[in-house]
Amino acid sequence: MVNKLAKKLKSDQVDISIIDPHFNHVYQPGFLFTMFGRDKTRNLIKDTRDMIPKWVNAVEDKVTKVDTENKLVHTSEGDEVKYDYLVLATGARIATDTAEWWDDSIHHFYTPPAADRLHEALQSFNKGRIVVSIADLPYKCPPAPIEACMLMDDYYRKNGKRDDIEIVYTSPINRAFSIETTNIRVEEYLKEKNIEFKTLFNADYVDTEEKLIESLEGEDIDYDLLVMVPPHRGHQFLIDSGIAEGKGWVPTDKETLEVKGQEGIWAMGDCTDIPTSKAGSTAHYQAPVIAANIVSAIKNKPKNKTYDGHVQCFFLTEFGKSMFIDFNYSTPPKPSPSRKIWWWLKRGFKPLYFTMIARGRV
Amino acid sequence: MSQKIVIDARGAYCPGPLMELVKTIKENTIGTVVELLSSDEGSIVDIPKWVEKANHKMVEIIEDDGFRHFVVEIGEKKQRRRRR
Ligand SMILES: Cc1cc2nc3c(=O)[nH]c(=O)nc-3n(C[C@H](O)[C@H](O)[C@H](O)COP(=O)(O)OP(=O)(O)OC[C@H]3O[C@@H](n4cnc5c(N)ncnc54)[C@H](O)[C@@H]3O)c2cc1C
Repeated sequence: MVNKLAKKLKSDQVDISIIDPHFNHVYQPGFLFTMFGRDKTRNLIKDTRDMIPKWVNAVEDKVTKVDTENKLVHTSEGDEVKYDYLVLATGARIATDTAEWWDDSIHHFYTPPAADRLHEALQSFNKGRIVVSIADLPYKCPPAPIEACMLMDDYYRKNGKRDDIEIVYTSPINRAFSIETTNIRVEEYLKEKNIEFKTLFNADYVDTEEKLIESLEGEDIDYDLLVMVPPHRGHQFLIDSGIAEGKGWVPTDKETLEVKGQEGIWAMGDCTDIPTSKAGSTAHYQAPVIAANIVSAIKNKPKNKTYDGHVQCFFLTEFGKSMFIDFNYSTPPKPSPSRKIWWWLKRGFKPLYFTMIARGRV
Repeated sequence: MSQKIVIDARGAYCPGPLMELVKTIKENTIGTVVELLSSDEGSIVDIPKWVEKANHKMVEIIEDDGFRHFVVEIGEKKQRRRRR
């Protein structure tokens, strides 16, 4: 976002500040590799400041409140940053604290340490049932839990343990994957790989002593190892600032990306309540829209760029093959069969991401 | 009927209108009426199926211009059967 803005504006025209409590830019799709020991956490993190122009003011601090009336951002160090235009891009908080039953025996792969810990658990697991489930909606990267199941299948086939390990996936809806056109292929792959999937199962409670998950629909499943997509929330400061309510997602116009009920504030990426995938590609296609509209606002021109809901995702089906899906608000995806080419593109994507995409070059 | 919540999930393919409905129903209580707007063709099958399985009431389905309104009343949520 900063790079897209900085490209359109000059340092003598505007001040641009980016505020973040740490400038560790984390390539989260890499967690699907670190959880299987196929990449290292340290290779997924780069300093954001090395990816933005030097004239952008990088403030290493946490936003604690936005005073929308006086157009001020307050930080935990007690600073106040004045703004004319504000872009909220604070992502989703991994909120295991919101499930009273959550404890450390439940694994996930949504933070660097959790993915590393899961790697150890998968390595030492020899026999029994692994359940991959979803604690709450919405969550980042809708294909990720199914990709995790399919990669587990491949991982245990390759190390010879697959015959002793059952893999079960629970889906909150009445098919394995939400997008019908893609689901047809996904269900075929799950069946082919002997991964059981239970549909209409919305996890509601986990008894970690009994090793049992109960659903909102009144069913239960026993497990030996539980891998659960953790609850996600928006950040508390958004609620405290009167910008968001409830779970903290920012009410955002799905086309203009302006925050509803606010002036001069836009939101992008995982922090919004837009009914589309929480994905990096979503943020990627939103950034130019917001940049163009901020420039128009500065120049007193009409803000006429809109976001069409464009999202693109790789969908890994094994180590060595992937599908690719591309869709927007009006066109559902037409997924190709899983192919080696998409896998290699996914493998090559991380360097492309750090050198080109995050730097706003494409 | 205490209150009505409208969810505009038109254009949502992923995570999908049903997930928007489940999310809203999870956060609200018995008697609340939720109206979901969906342009996804799959919703005509998905939504009534989940509503029935999860014990809620399908009040009505209204056809509109390129989308449908699914009006659902939240029923009693199924009891947890904790073993301890
Ligand atoms: C396992 C996994 C696989 C994934 N695979 C894919 C994929 O294949 N394709 C894809 O497109 N997406 C994928 N994603 C999703 C993608 O990583 C996210 O959607 C993307 O990172 C969202 O970007 P964001 O900028 O909105 O949030 P984030 O990347 O989470 O960044 C939010 C930033 O806000 C900062 N912040 C938070 N609170 C404050 C505060 N109070 N003050 C100041 N700063 C704050 C944080 O420090 C952070 O730097 C995957 C995610 C996971 C977990």
